Amino acid sequence: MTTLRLAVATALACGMVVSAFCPVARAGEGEVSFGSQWWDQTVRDAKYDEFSQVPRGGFLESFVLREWSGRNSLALWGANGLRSDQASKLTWANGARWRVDLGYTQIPHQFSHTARWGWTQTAPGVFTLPDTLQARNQALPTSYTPRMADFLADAPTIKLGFDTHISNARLRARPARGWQFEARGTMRERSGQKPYALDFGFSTALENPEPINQRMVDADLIASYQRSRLRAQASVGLSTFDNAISTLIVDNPKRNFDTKGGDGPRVGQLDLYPDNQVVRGSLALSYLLPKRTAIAATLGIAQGKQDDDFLPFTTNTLVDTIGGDLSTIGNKTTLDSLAARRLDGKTTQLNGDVRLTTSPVRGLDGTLRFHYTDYDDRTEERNWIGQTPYDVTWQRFIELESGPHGNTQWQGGVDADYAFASQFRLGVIAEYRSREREEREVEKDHETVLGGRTRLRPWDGFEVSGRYTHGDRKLDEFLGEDYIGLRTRFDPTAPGLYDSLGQLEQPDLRRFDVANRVQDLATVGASYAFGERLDLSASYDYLKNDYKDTKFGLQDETQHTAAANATWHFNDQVDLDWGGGYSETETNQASRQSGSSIPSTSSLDDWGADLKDRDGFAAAGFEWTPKGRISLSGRYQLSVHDAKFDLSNATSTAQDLPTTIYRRHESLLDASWRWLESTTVVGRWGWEEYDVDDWATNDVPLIFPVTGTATAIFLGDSARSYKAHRVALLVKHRF
Amino acid sequence: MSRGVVFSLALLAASLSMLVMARPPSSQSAPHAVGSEACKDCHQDQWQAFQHNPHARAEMDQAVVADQVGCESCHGPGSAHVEAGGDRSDPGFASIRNFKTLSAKDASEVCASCHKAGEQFYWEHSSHARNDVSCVQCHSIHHAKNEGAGPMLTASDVNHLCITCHKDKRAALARSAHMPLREGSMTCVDCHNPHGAPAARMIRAATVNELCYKCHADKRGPFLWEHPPVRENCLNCHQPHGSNNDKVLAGKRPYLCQRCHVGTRHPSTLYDKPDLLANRLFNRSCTNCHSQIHGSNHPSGKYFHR
Repeated sequence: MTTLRLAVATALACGMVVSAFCPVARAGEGEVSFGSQWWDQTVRDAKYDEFSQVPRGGFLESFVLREWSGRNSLALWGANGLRSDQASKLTWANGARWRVDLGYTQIPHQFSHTARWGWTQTAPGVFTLPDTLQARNQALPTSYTPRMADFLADAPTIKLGFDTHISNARLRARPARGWQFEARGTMRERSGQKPYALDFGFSTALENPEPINQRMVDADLIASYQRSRLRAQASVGLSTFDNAISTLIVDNPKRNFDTKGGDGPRVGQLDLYPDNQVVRGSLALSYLLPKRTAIAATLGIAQGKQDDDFLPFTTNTLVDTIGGDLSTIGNKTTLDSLAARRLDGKTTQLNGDVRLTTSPVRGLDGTLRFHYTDYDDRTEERNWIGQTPYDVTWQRFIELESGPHGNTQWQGGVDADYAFASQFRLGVIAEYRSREREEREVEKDHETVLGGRTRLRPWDGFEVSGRYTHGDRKLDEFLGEDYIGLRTRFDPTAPGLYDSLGQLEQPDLRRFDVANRVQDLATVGASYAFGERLDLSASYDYLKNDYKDTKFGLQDETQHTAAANATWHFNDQVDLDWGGGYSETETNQASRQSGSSIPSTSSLDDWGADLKDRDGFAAAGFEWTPKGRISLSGRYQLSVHDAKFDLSNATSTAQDLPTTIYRRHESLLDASWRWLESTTVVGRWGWEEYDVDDWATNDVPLIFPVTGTATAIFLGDSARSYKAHRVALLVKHRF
Repeated sequence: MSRGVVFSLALLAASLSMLVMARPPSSQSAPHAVGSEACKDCHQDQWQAFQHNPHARAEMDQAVVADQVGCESCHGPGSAHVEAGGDRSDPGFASIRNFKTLSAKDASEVCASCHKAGEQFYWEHSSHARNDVSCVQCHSIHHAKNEGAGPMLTASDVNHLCITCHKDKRAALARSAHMPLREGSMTCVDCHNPHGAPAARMIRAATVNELCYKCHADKRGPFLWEHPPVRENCLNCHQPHGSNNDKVLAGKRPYLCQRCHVGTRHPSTLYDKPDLLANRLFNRSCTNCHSQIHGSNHPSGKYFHR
């Protein structure tokens, strides 16, 4: 797992050693920044160090080393040395001909520091409970909640998060004029655990720490050739995903022996992400014509494969998959009762792109573009005799096909801009989009987008620009049979749980991603540069998605975003900057509820949700660098987000959910003292405050609900408000 | 002889005569290259910075780069400028290329004379080129602010550079659920190629999904049971620049799911305040049970439970 990482680290170290002791005459410079930090956090919430390791004690903030010797140059750069959010990069170049880049980045992703879990991992991905506990829960189900509450309260805290180690290497060669070759590879290794859930029986959730041990490799070879006006580029590549833990096996806390129905099996099994591979290739040609005209055409093909073995239908030994005239297929839960041993999944993706950019007459610029993608899922269709969705009961199907879900999308468009004068430009935009897909209620839709844009520069340094498009998406045909339920019994007079007594979905439902839609999109921006000292800019964005023909589902979405920036070079000693913005997104959706397997036809069951998200953002910073040895810099940032849930129903009994709030203040102050000509000492103070109030993620209990009969066991990885301070002393040294 | 031919010949003759008249007087020789050393005395800061620049090494590889190398490969032949001796009123002073006064297209064309393969293959077709963004607005040969690792940027890092213009993204990146851009572990150019790409939004793949699979290859499948909108476009449910909802989701669960699923039994139910003690609303909501929402390879995974 660490082979490439070690190789990269070794190469980086060798680079440093070679550069330090190489006897060849050379020039070089560098900078290193290191120090020690103390920090304190009122509540240990993971948001503070979600994607970073806030150092405590000594730390190496950054280093840069650059050297030149003749045609050779070497640059070594690093940040957050030896921490879990470290990054380093070594670049060696020989003239314009050769360049090698080696890099290593580690990205932590913390979900919680407070999660607890009482199961024991006996093998990768296998979690067990003491048999005695399971037996007691099975024998005395009425005291299940307090018993498990005690058990979970004593459970150890677990690290809920993972690290991604990214190693990359790149070689670029220009062996002769016009030729360029590039070989590049990236390996991502991910290890740790994240929350994942499975359920036993209907509506009982069991959240688990999913163990992660995954590797992703991407490699590409690219060759380019250019001669006169012609350019050609060809590439071949490979991408693989390997999951070392492909199954999650978890003891059911309620059962020591399998049972049919009720709480289900003794142990449950979840199929984690399967290994997959893709090989790809592309060819691109570009030709430059007079009048600043360029045409580029690209063709790409990729083939994917996924052939992980299937798991059995269920882990429950009592669930019998024999039934009807398919009894000869196999017995119970063995692999023989499956339609196949593995998916043998195959996909082919074909991409095509043609672009023509031209400026045929002075002031007129235009682009013609066409983009085509066909994702062809060539996996074989298979008929399945049934399923056991939560390892409890066998659902027998008459017709259940696992079908491929391919799709084809293409867009063609034209943009044309004309500069009536150097101060004024006007342009038109037209685009046509077409999408086709398999196995859905809307298999084809198309969208026409028309719009315009303008840019005005009335005087030097001042610019106003605007853009507006109107899109009209229409579905070709609505196939109602997609909403019809599955038949689970042979006897039509004895319907099963999901039988098609009619529609399974409301006939008036239109899913927003394929529904008829009218979209208005507008952007206005202005910027003003007052000499070289003051820069002001502001923008406003508007989006409206109107699903006019939708009775149930998402009906409309409206978004307003306004933002502004200012930078002011006050004088040679003082620089100020400010940025801020406000965004509001409102959505309306409607539904009709039904507690039974038959959809309701009564409008009294209708309900609606008007959701409103609001974001506020402000940041300000300053740098004060007087002529003496002291300098100061500071930065403050505030982001506030709240969401309102305005719920309504036909009987006026609906109650709104509480508003959720996420608010974060962050400030950082650096005071620098230039101690020596090339050495600066920096005192740093940082403060962060995070306030969160979210009904879904605050105070997540280990057992849920905490009174009455528990329906879920969670990891307790709550979102928490906190305050954090840090104080650091750094030394920055240039050499 | 038709009138058209006469007219064409006359037009040709007029053009040729104008060309002849437009030629500079023979006494004024065209500027020629004088070498980078000639720039050193007046432009010491720029000259010094250039020595630390990869372009200075490229200067030594004349076989694979342009004929003119050094300062004049970008600024053009400098003899007249040198002869002007700093006298701005001398016509020769302005005979070199000054990138501050060049149009965006002209400035970028200078860079594109060498940088036209690999990352820059689609530059002419990029949104940036079409919107008069020039190379020198983002890159500085002489005054790069990120001397360590980056490609000579005019800002301290890529993300700060991009949000200078893309202000709406600055607010999005500050949202509670975000990818590690503001922490510096990811940059905008991990997903977008600012120099152009053969796809909408200049993403580094032919489709959004293909781009996401570069880091999230676990979701690539194909799966036995597919969730169709997932397969078609990740952006149906996720907002990659940041969101107020867990997992950068476009809406809070269960309402996001209920935009498409209003069917029988629990998906269609109104979950309001009294239901806060329902595990279909609390914590991860629908995905408390339907955890395999990106697709399942389990024979019993049609409803994404397994």
